[in-house]
Amino acid sequence: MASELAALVADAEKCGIVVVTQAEEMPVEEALELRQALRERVQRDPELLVVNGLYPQAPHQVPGESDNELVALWRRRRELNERELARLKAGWQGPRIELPQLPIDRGPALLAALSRCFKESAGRHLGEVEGAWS
Amino acid sequence: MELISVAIRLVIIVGSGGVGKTTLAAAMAVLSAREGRDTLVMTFDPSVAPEAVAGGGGRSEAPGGQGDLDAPGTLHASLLDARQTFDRLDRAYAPDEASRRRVLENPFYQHPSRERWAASWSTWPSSVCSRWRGVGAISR
Repeated sequence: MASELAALVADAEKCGIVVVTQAEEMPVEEALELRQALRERVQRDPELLVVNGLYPQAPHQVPGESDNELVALWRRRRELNERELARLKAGWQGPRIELPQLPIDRGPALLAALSRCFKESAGRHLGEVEGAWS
Repeated sequence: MELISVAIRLVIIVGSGGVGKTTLAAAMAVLSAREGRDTLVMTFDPSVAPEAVAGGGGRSEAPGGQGDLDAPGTLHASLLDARQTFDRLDRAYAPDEASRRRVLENPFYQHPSRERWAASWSTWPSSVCSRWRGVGAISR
């Protein structure tokens, strides 16, 4: 059974692979390792990398004024996101989609919003696409 | 430009724990159905409560953002019956009856997985379908 599954994963005409990560150190490291493992074991790359849960851009910092705690946390998380995004850009060639952290509980509303973001990001990162898939 | 070839019938979503694989799979399934494909989204994680993705289960809905999905394709959701699957694997691959029984009777195999698997599986078909029908994601 394991060999059948390995053959399916190796067959890029039958099975697409989407790698999901967050712009945090450990998931990025594991995503890069996964891509390397796919290359070594089944000689293929994933179709798509999705970077999920990105913090929004922090507000512009006014010179001479310090952030309050909330903005400081926000700015720090975003800086970490950007550092890891830079690492991904340097180490991952191929289609990449970025999705924001959304202030919506899990459920249909989140799915609707996330699918919209997916389509918009696909357009931004990949140019004109007829749909999310094609 | 093709993002994922339409010729590919199966797409697997992989990544580290907690990065949003299940939610993203559900969102991609919604998109796929909207683009006219008959779509099945499955999760193999026995710890995932169906309501966690599809909503319901006492969770509150955020206001707004929940429109009619208006999907020309069909969308189905399913959760692997992990217990039955592992039992079947044991029956298929155990070298003899004693080995098979040793696995099935192992307390780590039986508990807590039995309760968790049963809990997640038993709530899936009705609650998820009703939630997804509610937003027009499933059309039969």
